Amino acid sequence: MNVSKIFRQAAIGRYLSICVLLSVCLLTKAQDGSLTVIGNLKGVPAEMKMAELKSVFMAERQRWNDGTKVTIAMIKSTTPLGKIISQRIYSMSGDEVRGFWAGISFAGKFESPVTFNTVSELENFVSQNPGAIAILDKAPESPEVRTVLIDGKKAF
Amino acid sequence: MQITLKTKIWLTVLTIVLMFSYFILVYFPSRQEEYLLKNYNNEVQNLANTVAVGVEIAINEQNFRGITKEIEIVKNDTRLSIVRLLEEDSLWNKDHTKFTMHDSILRTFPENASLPDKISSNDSMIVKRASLNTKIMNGNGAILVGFKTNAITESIKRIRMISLVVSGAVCVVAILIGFWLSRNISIPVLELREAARRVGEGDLSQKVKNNSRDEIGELAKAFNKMVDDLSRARQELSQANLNLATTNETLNKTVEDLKAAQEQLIQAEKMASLGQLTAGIAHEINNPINFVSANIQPLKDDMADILNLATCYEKVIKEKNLEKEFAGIGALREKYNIEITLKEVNDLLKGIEEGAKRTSEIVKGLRNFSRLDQNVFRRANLNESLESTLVLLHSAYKNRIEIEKEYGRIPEVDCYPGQINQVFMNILSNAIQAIPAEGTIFIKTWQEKNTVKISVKDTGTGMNEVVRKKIFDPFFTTKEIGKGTGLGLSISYGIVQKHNGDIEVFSTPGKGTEFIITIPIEQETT
Repeated sequence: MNVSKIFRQAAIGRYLSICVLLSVCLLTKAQDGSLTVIGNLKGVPAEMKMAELKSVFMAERQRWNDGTKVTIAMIKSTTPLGKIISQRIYSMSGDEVRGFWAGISFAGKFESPVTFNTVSELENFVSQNPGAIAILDKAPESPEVRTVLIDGKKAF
Repeated sequence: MQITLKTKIWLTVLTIVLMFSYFILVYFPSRQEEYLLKNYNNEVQNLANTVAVGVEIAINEQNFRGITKEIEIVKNDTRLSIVRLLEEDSLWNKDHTKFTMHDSILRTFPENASLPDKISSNDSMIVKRASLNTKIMNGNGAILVGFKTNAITESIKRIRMISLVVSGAVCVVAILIGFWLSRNISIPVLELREAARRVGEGDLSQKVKNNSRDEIGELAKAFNKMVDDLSRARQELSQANLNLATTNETLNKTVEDLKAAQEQLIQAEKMASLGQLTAGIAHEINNPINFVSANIQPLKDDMADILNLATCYEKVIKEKNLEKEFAGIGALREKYNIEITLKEVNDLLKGIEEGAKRTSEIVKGLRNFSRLDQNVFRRANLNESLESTLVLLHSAYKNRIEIEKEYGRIPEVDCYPGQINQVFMNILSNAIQAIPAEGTIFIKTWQEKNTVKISVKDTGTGMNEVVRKKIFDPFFTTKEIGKGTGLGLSISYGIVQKHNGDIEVFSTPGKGTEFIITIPIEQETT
């Protein structure tokens, strides 16, 4: 075994350790309940009630007040954040949320949500689509999205 | 049971049409229906599988918009009746030892579809199901699609309608083919049969008109040739038969002529022998009878002289009163009754004279009849011939048949006298025999133009028309066997024909018969 290979294996080990630590940190933070709702600057109101938020995510509302179509962006329910959101917003497991949206999509009455694997992709999508709304576990980094206050709070 | 060719053709056509109709109307549509349904089932199943796979991937990837797109594959299909998203869940019993699968309907499209929760394929809908290898809610998911079969039903109806139309067209074509076959096979064969039947009945003018260039045409040509050959053969046969019949008739006539000639020869020979015998007898009797005839008158003269002498003697005795001296002579005269004796002598002389005269006539008749010159053609008086014949037949008719003669002034005719005598003998004999008891025979002769006619008419039994027509046939006789040869009139007819004459017969049954013989006065010398 040569030296470069030993160094490469050591680097991979380090990366994996960092990833595990980051995940644990994020999970710990999320479990702390710090979810943030972000929305596109167009259509999505700056403030909403929790019930209103839930109704949006339960596909009970199709248009914002200005008439912009509601577009739901979601982190996949199989991710830790997704599971938290499923629990907090839907009071369901991840599979149940998946089934719920599968049913909504099956009926085709409501525009299906767009799912992403990463928060950055999610934030990027919201910033680019009018009427798009999403739930993150952190404050948005992009200035092109707004943080929607839920019951007057940035995080809930 | 006889099945005609026409029936067989129609049965064949009908069988083919029925088989074709069965395949077109029943078998093929049925197979087509099965095929369509199978394909449709497969298609629906494939659609269900496709949607299920797509949905499964979309769910796994949480690509919910992908689910919508996948579902739209079937939603946009006009044949769709229902599509359901199911959740398959297992329900365990209390002991948790057994479970049953239970479907929960998560979503249905269209939502207002009024169908029961559990649906399966039926006549109006095909239902197919495809499982998702992913969890939805609490169990595995499944896609259930139901497609309407009305399109298939319409297709089947259309197929059946097309089949019906095709079958009808085939029936029409088959009927036309049947007529065509009948016209080209059955009708010509029937015509051939009819023609053959007529040919069998003997009508060889039958011809079959068929110009087709097939076996039927060949058969018709062969038939026509056969009829021609038969006709020719029959004509040849008829001609041969005719020739044979003519030859046969000629032979028969020759045989009859030979027989007649033979009989005639025999008869002629007999007659010749009889004539010679008769002539000999007549000649031998003629001399003595001439003596008798010649001596009767001198004897009578002598007896007259003797009587005259005796009368003179008696006158002298009376004048001289010498009765006493010639008393012995007177006694003898008394004794011999000389007046009566003289009368007897006269009577005897008359009798002798009459007998001699009669004998002379008989001899004359015999000589006249026998005619040793019978084969000599010469002129003869037919009245004399009739008389001679009557003399010979005198014994046959005397005392019962009266002969009424009406001899005309006729010239002598050219003939063979012996043969003519034979004719008169036959006809007069028949006339005498035709009168069973008493009757009359009328004999009349007269001249008519260049002929002499002799009528012999009797009051006998007569004869009917059938017998009358046959009396001149050789060997025909109405007499008992052994009493007549049946040749008399036949020979007589031949003799008269030989003299270029004719014999006519008129007869009425029960009244009598009349023969009229015509003989030319002069014969052409050949």
